Amino acid sequence: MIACAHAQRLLPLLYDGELESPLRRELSRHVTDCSVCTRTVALLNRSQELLCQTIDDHIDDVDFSGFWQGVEAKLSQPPPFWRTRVSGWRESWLAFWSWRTPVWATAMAVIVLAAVQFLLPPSPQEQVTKSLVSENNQAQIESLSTSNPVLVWNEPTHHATVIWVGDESMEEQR
Amino acid sequence: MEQSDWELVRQCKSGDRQAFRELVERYQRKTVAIAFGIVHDREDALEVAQEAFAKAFTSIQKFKEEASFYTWLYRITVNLAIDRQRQKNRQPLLDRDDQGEGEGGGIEAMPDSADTDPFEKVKDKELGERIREALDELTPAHKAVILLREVEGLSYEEISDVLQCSRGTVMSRLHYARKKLQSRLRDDL
Repeated sequence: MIACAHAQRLLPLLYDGELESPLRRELSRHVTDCSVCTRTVALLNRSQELLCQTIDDHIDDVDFSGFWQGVEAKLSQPPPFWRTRVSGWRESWLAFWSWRTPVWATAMAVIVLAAVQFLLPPSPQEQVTKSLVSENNQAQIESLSTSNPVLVWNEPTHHATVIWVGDESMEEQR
Repeated sequence: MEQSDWELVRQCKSGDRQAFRELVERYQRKTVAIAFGIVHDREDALEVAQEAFAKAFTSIQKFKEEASFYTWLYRITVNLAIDRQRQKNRQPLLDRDDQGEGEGGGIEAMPDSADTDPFEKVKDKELGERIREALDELTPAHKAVILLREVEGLSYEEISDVLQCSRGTVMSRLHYARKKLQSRLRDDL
């Protein structure tokens, strides 16, 4: 004996003729005896009827006498010029991308930024900084050429060494 | 004796337009009905259906005879109708209002008939409006599923072939579309 809750889930399949024979027979028997399931089938039937009726009412009014001529006219149209083709592709492209564009643009921007971040070699300045940090607070200045005064200040509390290179307009910290 | 679709398709493949005309006459009404259910405009539906037939004829060599002709034709129609609907949705509202909603046959415009009871006409119009609203709330893919099932009577297998999706997807889309339609038509059911 099929349970009503289970039958309710299967009713659309029964209505659409998508059930195999043994189950179909069992379910049909259940529907005959169950008022709830009978109503569900009636609902399915009525909504289909209304939809078909609405569509049919409109199609009944369509004049098909010139339909074939319309198809022939489309068949005899020359293949579209490349510009028309391109604009056709553009149209369908725009139609397809309408709401997805911001999502894709953001995703692409993230991918490009990630690629730039991870794939490009680090800049020389980054390399210097890295080597300064990685080698246990030891740094080496290979060369320094300036006519301005240079001041070196060691700050043991922060384990930092500040090198000031004097300039007339600004002071630069390295 | 009426020739089968297969025979006509074979003749079409050898360039026989008369055979193709036979196929057009066989499926023109169904094709327009599907297109109409998606685009909701008679003129657009006719245009889409004619375009679908023209496309079918020009690509007939690519048609593999593993599937039935009408599922292949419906696939072309559904795709073209969805494209058309998307293009229409992209147009500004002002342009859309100008396009034959009244006379051209929006879905709410029911046929005029001198002997129809005016109350019935109003009721029909309201019903048509509710069906249009229910269909409007569905995605094109959901619309296509319910039209192919309820109006064209295709099996789940055939619908999955037309829409190139699984049978499970067909079932879930159909369930959702029916619920939506039933909730809109609650008072009429």
